[in-house]
Amino acid sequence: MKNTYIIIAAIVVIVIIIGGAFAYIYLSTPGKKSTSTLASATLNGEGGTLVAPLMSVWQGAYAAVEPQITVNYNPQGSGAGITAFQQKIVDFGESDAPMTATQYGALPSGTTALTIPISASAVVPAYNLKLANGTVCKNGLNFNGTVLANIFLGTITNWNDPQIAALNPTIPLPNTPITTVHRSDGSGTMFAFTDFLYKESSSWATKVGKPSTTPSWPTTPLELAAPKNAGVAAAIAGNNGAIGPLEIAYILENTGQSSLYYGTVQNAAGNFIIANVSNIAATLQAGATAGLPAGNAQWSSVSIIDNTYNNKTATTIYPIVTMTYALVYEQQSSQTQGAALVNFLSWIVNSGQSLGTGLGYVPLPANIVAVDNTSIKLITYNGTPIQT
Amino acid sequence: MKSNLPTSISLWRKIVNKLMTVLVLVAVVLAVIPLILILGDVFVRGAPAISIGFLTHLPTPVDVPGGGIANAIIGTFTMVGIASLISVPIGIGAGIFFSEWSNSKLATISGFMNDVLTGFPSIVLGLFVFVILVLTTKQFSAFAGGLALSFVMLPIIARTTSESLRLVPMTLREASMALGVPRWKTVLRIVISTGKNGLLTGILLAVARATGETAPILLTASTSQYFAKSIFQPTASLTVLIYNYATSASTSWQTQAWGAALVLILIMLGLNLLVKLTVGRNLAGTRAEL
Amino acid sequence: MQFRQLRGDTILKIILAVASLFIIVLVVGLAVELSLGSASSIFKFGPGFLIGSNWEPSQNVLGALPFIYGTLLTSAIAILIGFPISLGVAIFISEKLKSHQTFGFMLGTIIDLLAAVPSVIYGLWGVFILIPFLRDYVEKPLHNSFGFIPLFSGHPFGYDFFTAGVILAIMIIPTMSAVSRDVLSVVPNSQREAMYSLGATDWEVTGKTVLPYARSGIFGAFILGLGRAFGETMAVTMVIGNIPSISSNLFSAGATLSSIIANDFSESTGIFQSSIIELGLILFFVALLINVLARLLLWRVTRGTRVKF
Repeated sequence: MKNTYIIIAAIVVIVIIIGGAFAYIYLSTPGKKSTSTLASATLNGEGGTLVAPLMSVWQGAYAAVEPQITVNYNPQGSGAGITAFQQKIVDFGESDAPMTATQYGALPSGTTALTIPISASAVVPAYNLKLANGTVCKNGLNFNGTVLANIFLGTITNWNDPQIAALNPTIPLPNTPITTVHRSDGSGTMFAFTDFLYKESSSWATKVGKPSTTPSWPTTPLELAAPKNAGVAAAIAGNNGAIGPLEIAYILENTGQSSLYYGTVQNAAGNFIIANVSNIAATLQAGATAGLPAGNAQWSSVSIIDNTYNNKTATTIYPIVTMTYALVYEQQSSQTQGAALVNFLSWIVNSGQSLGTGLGYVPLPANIVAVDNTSIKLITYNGTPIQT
Repeated sequence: MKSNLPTSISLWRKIVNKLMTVLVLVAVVLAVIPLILILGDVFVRGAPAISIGFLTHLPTPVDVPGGGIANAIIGTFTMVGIASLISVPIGIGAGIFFSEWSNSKLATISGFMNDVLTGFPSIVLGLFVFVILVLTTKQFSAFAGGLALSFVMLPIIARTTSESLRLVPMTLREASMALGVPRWKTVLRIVISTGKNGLLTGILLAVARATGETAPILLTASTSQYFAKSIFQPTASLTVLIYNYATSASTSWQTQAWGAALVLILIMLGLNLLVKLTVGRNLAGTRAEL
Repeated sequence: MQFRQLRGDTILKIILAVASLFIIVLVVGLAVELSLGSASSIFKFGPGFLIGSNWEPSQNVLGALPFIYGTLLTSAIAILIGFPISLGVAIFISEKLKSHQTFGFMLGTIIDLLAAVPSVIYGLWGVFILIPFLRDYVEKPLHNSFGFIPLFSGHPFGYDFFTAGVILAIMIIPTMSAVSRDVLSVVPNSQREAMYSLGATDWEVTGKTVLPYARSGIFGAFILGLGRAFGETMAVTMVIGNIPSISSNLFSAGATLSSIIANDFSESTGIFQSSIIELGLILFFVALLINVLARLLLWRVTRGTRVKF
């Protein structure tokens, strides 16, 4: 009996001590004095895993500028981001693929979605390969759209296939079966990759069809699906002979990985381009000159890839570049939330762009930023635009 | 007188006996090895991440040093706290009812329903709270997470309460009533104080179970990179943080996942040790739960 | 005096009854909500959903069979590995350590610590440590030597049914061994003493007397472990590869009822979401069935004793 009392007392004491300690920490978190007139608010977002590291940088920097606005982000995948947005359980959704016509149709009646590009990245063919001479194949193996399509269609099944050798005459390709890796969940990265394959390969277009966040991947002899970009990265890094589409940020960030490398993709001008910040930026610039729709229009057919894959004059274009989008409602239901949202989006699109270059995120070019700023001005509360 | 009984066991039987002993020992070793490996790995990989800063700071942007899991620790405590506030009174109340008014139809039906509730996989409970609370209020929240956890805790508390109270000898009740103590006082003062060991065990077991849950709060409380300003906002939690960081590509986040795992394991071990202290060697069956 | 007494009794009874009522309302509410949520899927796909083996959300072709298969297969592997080990541990502690009660208690505590490890930590450990280990030291050798058997015919990646089964086995060992231990401890000593007096060896006492006596209780422990394996979510999700598949190849990636819910629910809408809720309903029914079965079996053995669960 006494035992019980002692234990209860101990628990209460522990709880008080821990609770007190945390209360102290919480309350003494450095002063949140702000000169801004914005009311304090919490913005909740959900969406793709691609932008999660960049979002964490933004959260940190923005909190210094507007400490009374808290931004939360839950990276559960582009698909989850779009759904959460449709269900109105978040302030902004985030996705690497624009919404489809069906998804636009499923929005609550009387609402309009604004699609606002917030960053851009490239999808690269990542691989893990030991060459015939025993060394590890580093960055720079050459690929083009047809070869990539054939690999994922299952018609090229070995690394020493003549089609691959033709692009890489000096590399001692080994006799290793190819393992194809792709996402198992809804992914904007897969959308971009399949968009490229759809444009480049007629057999892919016939067999698989239009690009999708959840494509029906043809069965290849060795196939592996993993959830989230990180899962794909781990799957490739853990299996010799594996190849899969990956956001470049995931390779650049993954400093611990010693068996993950990425290759070049041939552009329409014939050059094999290895993705980096400057050629991705060039691609973005070229891809957006064709004109982006207004923020409140449907963006289902917007594709930088579609605009650049057959551009024969731009010699440095990297052909698989994708923007990543914030999704918000044009009609906000709360003045405070709306004002905070407008402020945050404005900041990301204008001041936040240069913060991600170290992690492999490309700043949006001026023409896209201009489109974004116009879109942000469309956000209203009770019919009146919030940003003047 | 010399005995005619055989004094030695046949060789075959001896071999079988030895063999079975060895097999049983092998089983024990196989059971213990994963535990040593898991705990060992969590300690070895998590320890480098642990520091006072880790426990008291908020997360920093990826690859920026000095980040911590303070909000996740508080978030877990908050949601388990909310869950306890809901499930402890209801669970103990129901448990007392099952034990003391066991003849009533309500008690039988409710007891059966309680068993059914035990069998719900926690992800289904999370689905339920998502549909009835998150979708309707259009808001992920710590409260929704706490509610989902309370549904996990409730049947455990109700069941262990009723089992513990049933063990209290009938004679105690009879003696009390014979002395003219009203029934309600008998139940509250006599029966409960005799069985309070078991009640405490049940609560601790339920708390331990809720602290380790991921799926229900992933669906209902989302996550946050800050301290939650209110329980009606999303909040971080140790389990969801481990899941998100472990499945990320950043090696610094992965190390933090191990660190958070170490913190979580220490909390779980602490809770379970408390259970062992209160229970001793009785109430053996409370370990078994779905 | 009597009136006041009665009032106190009634008030308490009402309060407690309300608490009990809450549980009934909750479970009924759960059942109703699950049914409502899965209604559109049930109407659209009918009973064929249970045997449909295609899962293509983008084409609205949905069938639950791959997940039922995955849940059954991983649980089967878990039981095959975990049950003998649990039984061995239970026998060791309850029979061999009868004279060393403290050591038995300590060993039991250590095994129970396995139950204290949360599922997500099993998943974390699984992804970074178990998968590379199993892939390189178990699956690849098995595939190379016995690849002609359909079970081992697939190229081993590590994210597969087999790994999920192994992790589940580790997770259910504490439950099964704890219950088995309790059940074995209920067997009257007179049974053992009688056998010893007839000149039986230790194993003969255990194998021919104790185990058969506790047979239905052991089976109950087995069923409880199965139930735990069915409902396990996070650890399985992180190591199973998450591709719906029905394959006899242990090294193929797969999915279970709980892993697909965890993965796909957040991004599902419309009929797709309804189907996932239907999967939750199926999962619940299976768990319920197992729960009832286990309790019936255990009740038969332990009825009237202090061992409850």
